[in-house]
Amino acid sequence: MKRLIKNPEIICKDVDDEKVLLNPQTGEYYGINEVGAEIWTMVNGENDISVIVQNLVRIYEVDRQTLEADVAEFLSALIERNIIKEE
Amino acid sequence: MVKLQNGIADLFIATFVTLRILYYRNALKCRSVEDIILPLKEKRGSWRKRKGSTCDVLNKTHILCRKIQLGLLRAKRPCLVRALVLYEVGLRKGIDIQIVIGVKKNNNKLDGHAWIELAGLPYRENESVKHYTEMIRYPN
Repeated sequence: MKRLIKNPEIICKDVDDEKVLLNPQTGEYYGINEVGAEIWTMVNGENDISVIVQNLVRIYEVDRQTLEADVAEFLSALIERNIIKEE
Repeated sequence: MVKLQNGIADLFIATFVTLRILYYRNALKCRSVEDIILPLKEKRGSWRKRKGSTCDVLNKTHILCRKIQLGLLRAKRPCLVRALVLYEVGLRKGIDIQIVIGVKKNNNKLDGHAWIELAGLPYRENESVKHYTEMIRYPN
């Protein structure tokens, strides 16, 4: 499994009750919800997707398969937008 | 003679602002804000000897941006281009100026805004600018 690493250029700020990620290279910004924020915190250069899913299963009472699919989709969207990358 | 000089100075600003608005509108389609702003530092102070007080030139730039962007170009999101033009003008005049990009939540949607600050104070912005969370500032 590939480790996930944040793009160091990304700026993350709390705006009201959600986190906002700004990519200064593109000027695009994205709001992420509570679960997204948990995932963002776990993208630390050491964890891969399986570790992230394992941690989330402990926090949220949700079917593992559904969670895996949702996390994979979310991470793919972040990779596509150059917010994180796989190493 | 004074009137004529003002006329020429105003024509210069009007031409400059128009061209810069068109330039920034296109530049933002293919370059990042950071890439656009960084080379501008070489222009710092290049208008120090040019006629017209900084306050007057910025004021005219702001009015022109508003008229051109909203009146002629019908821009829906004019703030970033306006901030870039004002930033360049302020920089050329050699003043302490920064460009700020912020985000706020509005009816569950994110709303971005860009403005300039002179000596740390928002320039020609209404009170609502306080509700934006600052994301980035150039130069920081």
